[in-house]
Amino acid sequence: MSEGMEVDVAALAALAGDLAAGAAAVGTLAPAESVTAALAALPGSDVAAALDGLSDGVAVAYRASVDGLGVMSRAAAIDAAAYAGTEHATATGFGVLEGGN
Amino acid sequence: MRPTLTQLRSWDPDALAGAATQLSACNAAYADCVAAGDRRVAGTREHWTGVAADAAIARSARERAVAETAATAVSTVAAALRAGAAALGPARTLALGIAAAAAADHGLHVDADGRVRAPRVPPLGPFVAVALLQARLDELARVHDVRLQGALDVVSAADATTAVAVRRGWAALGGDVPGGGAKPSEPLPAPPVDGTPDANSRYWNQLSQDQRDAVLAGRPEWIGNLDGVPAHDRDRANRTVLAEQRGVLGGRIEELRVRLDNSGLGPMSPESSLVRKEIGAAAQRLAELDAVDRTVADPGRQLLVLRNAGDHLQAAVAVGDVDTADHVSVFAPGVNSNVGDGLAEFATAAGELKFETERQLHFVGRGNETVAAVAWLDYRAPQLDPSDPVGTVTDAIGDLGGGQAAEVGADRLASFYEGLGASRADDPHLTALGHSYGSTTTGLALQRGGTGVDDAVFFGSPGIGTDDVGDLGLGPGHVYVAEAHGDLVADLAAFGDDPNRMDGVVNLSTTAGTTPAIGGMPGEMRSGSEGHSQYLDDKTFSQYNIAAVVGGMPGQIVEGTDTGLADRVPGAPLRDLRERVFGDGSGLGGLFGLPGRIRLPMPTGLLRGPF
Repeated sequence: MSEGMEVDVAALAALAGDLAAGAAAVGTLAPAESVTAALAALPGSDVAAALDGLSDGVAVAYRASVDGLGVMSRAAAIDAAAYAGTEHATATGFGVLEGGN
Repeated sequence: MRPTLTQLRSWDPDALAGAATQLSACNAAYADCVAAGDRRVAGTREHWTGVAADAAIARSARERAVAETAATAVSTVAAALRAGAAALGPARTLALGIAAAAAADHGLHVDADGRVRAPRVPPLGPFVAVALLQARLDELARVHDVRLQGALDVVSAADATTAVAVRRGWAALGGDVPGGGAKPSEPLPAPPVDGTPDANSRYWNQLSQDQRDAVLAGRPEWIGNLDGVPAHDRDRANRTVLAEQRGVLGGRIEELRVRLDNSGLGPMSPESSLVRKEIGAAAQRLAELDAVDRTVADPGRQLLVLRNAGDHLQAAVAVGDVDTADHVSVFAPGVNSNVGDGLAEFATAAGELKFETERQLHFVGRGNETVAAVAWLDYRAPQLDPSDPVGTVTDAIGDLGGGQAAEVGADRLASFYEGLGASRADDPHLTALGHSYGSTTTGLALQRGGTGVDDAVFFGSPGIGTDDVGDLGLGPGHVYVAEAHGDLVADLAAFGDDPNRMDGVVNLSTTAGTTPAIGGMPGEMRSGSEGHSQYLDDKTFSQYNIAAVVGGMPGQIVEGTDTGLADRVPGAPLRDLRERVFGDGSGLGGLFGLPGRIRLPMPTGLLRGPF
């Protein structure tokens, strides 16, 4: 026996939009500016040496989240369209059968 | 890396603090975005079920976990920068101030690297006058130079500590740390569990330098309080932990305040009260940490212990270099001593004692011998607060009556003594100093044996936990007692006989008078000590005598006693009275109808000296 499933296609499409917005929001963050400011505050110090390259590391971490949210957003959008398409095709199929002999 | 003065002038710790705040805000927004996305996915459960829905929720949870790891790492970096700014600001200001004062003093030259030199006096007058003036300028330059080098060392240490903390945060991101060396391919060896100081010393000595650096950078909490590890390394480790804890707590308080401001909760709501309570607790701990930070900011100090003991902080600070000093003293204070209120004051007293000891050593012709003085507050001395009568009685009965705090403290103090010897190849002259309840703790510690202590001074002592000096394990003539005029606590004999009446002790004078001539120099007038708390006050006779013991100069000691009321009572009746009051409670306790074996607490009024 197959597992049960239930889907609100409109809600799934809305989820896709929200996740895309979340990805965009993370994408606008600029941690590198803060690291650059910290570097400039103590030129030639051990702290500056320790911070060197950190902005790249943080950017990589944030980018990974942007990509992850983006992937989930696209998956939700594709799934919503696929569910809607399947629903429509199934409904059409029943309509043909009814109209047949 | 010590900065040049030119570099130091270009530094802007306030800008560093601003960058830390900006990074925190950006990071908080990042974490909130990812968390909001995860909540949004989880919320689809009500209208999306099945295999695909389960997969989406699992994927979202993974993304959130990864983001939380990254956010925690960045938060650690931001906290490190915040703490670094707080440390570097005052240190920079101090160093630049010293440099400015040197440059304004008799035309001294201050180089870009911070060295202070005297100008050459032109030979325009009598040779002797020119030579004397040059010598005077050279001495001025030397004094300023020492101060400035010390101040620059403090700046350098704060810079290095902050860099270590930043690298720790970065390492949690999983990246390659610049300047931090390659990650060790094997896990770092941890110290032995419940190891003796000797075992701890062997552990540390067996590590390679790279491994030690890795422990100091990545696991400073392993060795900061580990007896047997050299003081220099304990100091580095504890300063790293101190900076991190200050940064974390500061950030936590900010987060809680923002949460309170943005929550919309009423000020009287239970949730709001909980948040305020957490803010209060964090602020109290931060105040203790700030007190430690201020105490060790002075050049030439070592943070040997920094211990989170639950509801309070415990610490020990040395003035001088414990790793190399010929003479080391360890001072354990008594009731009501705590890090928040007293560490700075005790460290100052330790510094004054060190100076007095070195002064006497100089005049007896042993000026090449060095001294380090430790203020040790690594135990919970009973805290008697007259405004908290219930807490006071509980503490008094549980701690003073049972001596529990002294017993627990004694184990830790004995290990600390032993660790000083285990961490060094040579054997320094070690003096134990105990005041009031701290003298009881010190006496009990010495009775553990094998401490390496050479001399002990008990002052204002209500008893040292034994009636027999021989139990302390010190040679004859190496146990000293000081009892000031009007010190009622010193006559209590609550934890053993009154020490100044014990056989085999040397009584140190505490009254005003002139010290003996020394090295051809005439003696100096010193004030007397009154009551319970003036034994280490600067320029007192008791301080002079204690310094003579610390410096291993028994010939300079001036003996004397100040007979208190209890001292005039014959020993046997006094012992009997002590047993009845502080023994099994069958005496006065029985008269008051108290249950058997409840001992009476020491009246708080007696702790404040004479009426």
